[in-house]
Amino acid sequence: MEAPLIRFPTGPTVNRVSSVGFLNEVLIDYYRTVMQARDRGQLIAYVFDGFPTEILWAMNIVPVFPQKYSGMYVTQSARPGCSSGVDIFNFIEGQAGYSQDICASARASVAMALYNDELERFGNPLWSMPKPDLLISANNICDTVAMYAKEIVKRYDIPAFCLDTPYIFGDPDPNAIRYIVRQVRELIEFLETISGQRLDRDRLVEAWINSARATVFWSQTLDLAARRPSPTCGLDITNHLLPFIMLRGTEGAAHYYRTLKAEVEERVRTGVAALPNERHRILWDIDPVYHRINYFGQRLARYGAVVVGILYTYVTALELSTAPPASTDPDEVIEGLARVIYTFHLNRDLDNRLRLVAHMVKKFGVDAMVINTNRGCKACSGLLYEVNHAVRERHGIPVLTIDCDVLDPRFFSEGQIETRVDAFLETLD
Amino acid sequence: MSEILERLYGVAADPIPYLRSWKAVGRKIIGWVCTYVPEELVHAAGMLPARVFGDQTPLSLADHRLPPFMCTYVKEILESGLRGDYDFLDGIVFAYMCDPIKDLSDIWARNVRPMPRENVVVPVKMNTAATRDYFVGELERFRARVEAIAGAPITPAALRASIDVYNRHRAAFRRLYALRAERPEVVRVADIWAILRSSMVMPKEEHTALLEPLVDELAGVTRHDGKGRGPRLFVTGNLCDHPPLLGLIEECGGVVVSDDLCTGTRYFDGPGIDPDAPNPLASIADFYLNKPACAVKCNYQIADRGEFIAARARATGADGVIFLLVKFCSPQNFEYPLARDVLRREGIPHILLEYEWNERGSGQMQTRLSAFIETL
Repeated sequence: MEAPLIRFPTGPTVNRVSSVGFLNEVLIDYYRTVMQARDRGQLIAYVFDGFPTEILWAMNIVPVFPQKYSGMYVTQSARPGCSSGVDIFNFIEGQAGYSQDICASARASVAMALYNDELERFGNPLWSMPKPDLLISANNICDTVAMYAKEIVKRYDIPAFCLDTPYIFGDPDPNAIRYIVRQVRELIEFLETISGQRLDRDRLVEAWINSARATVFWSQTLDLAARRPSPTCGLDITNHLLPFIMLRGTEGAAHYYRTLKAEVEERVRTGVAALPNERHRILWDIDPVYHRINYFGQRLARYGAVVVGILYTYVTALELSTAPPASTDPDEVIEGLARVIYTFHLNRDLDNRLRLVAHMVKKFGVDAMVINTNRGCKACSGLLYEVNHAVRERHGIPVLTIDCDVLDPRFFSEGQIETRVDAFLETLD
Repeated sequence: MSEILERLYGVAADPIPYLRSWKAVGRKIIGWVCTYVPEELVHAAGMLPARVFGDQTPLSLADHRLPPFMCTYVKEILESGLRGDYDFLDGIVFAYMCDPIKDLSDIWARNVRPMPRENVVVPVKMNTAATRDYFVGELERFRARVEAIAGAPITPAALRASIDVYNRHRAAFRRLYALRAERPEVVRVADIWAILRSSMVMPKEEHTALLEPLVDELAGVTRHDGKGRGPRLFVTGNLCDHPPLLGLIEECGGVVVSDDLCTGTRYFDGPGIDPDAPNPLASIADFYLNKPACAVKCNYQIADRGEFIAARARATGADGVIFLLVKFCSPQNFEYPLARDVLRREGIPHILLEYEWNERGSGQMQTRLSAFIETL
């Protein structure tokens, strides 16, 4: 099966990392694995950001992320013969009765999951998404996931597991950790029943070690943006998050991040910068605007501004930071996984968020911040005005707030955004 | 109007002076947001649990703290907090429910006059043994916090007594709703509003002492004005606390026979709590885990809310269902397509109406409602 290349945003001004070619190889390889899964007798599980794929890879079950498929569908839609990335939203609102006020990623994911055949009419720019054999949702990134997963489960009538991750106000709660450990064990039993095979505990340990390696390489890569000038642009590096979410636990993911890190290190050594005339270093909270990655990269570059850190990308690399070191004891691995799921930064309160922002401001030598409130995202964006107030008070750096839906291009007003971004950047000079 | 109703209307119309009068006589008052807050524990500690309402004033302060796409219900609660309406509280408790409420909790804690703030982190799935054990543990943690605020331990006898008080109050409400379904002409939506809203701030034993005779009184009323005889409607959604908006349904010729709202059955419906259970907290946990679920809850293994709504509508003899949603409510909006399809399949007519917490019902809403009711 011929899988089309993904066109990652590029720009004349932003000097992006060349591992992007390798990224395409890795992702196409993943896509082949997905499309051949049924022939190989492998089950396909729908899962969502924040879910640890280690367990699935260890059990030879192939994870498919509707969020990632739909994200790529929208961002790749600007190809000849394809829709502009708007049809998917018009369709799901008209056909399925979804409100345009809810998360765009959720709307597009449901559209991909349930109406793939109809979407083909618009000219699918990238990959078809296979139907699921089972679904697992974890609510550590938001409650939204569990809500729209209900619709997918109901319509396909497939087995499903809800991994419930109580939100953390203040410090992690031992009672909640016990709850999640117990659920991870139940999840393993659930998967064993459906697949008819026992979890190979050695493979779980192996996946965990691969995962720890990938995390270290990934976080070290992101940390290199602290150098001046920054070797990478955060908006560009966000593309490289995909294998981390979809393939974590595989040897391929560990190898991928080792390669990426080597390339960025080489840039530091030879003095290659993302932006040769870097004058301003921007922190971006929380997601980039996925359908305009290139646009923002170039717009900022005109003023010598480079994004050195993106909160959403950065927290993924911190996922394993609270876990015990790579362990060879399967029971410890299960506890470690539970802890990783639970303490994920999006599952934590405002104080934690502000500590994280403070850490990034300092670490990356940030002198301005862009906050994008994402219309559909109540979980991450609801706190952004507070982040804005706190950053100004505590760090004394200027903050620009913009309102763009990160996926739905209908809620993006280029003229308005341009005026605001330009005015803001002019004041920095 | 009966004397009892008049009294309840008085409290409902102006709950803050009412609460201040309790404060003046030395009662500690704990605000709560969301009907999953286990009030029994606050009551057992000798404090008065009181729902924090957002009113319908134009927003000014809250708009600087919450982005435009958050629901106006959450914003109005914050607005009242920022304005200082609730400065007299001895503490506030949020139930972790949807994403906006957890955001609200943190924003309240940072910006409203400092007061003890607690979160009861309610599980998302409700139906496993692991969930129950977790939630009992969470209630134990919460009990300790409540005791700290009260400055005294909750004795087993006090907890038993509070459970009895709440059981009896909920039973009185179930009688009221049974009467409403049977004879909606004697239980109008404005009355339900006054009764429910006052119950959320008054001490439950006091409210029960009024509610029980009131139900008897209403059962004895006969109406000859022909009102309350139109198509029978079941209202489902997040919550609605506005008599003019609900009154619109009656004005358009409909009769509300029951509801599935946080300002309705979801406040009091659920299994009785066993006061003599070996661990009363487990029994309290069972009430909250088994009461009619908020749309944010995720139970893949049990019947969904669409089926629940259809069953309730059938059981109360409704001719149609109104989905009445505060705009920007993700849980309800996600639930709607599924629930709508169940109603279609079951042949139950339905309509979706969205509103902002601070609006009073538009002309457009009236037109749509009238048209819907006429078709029934």
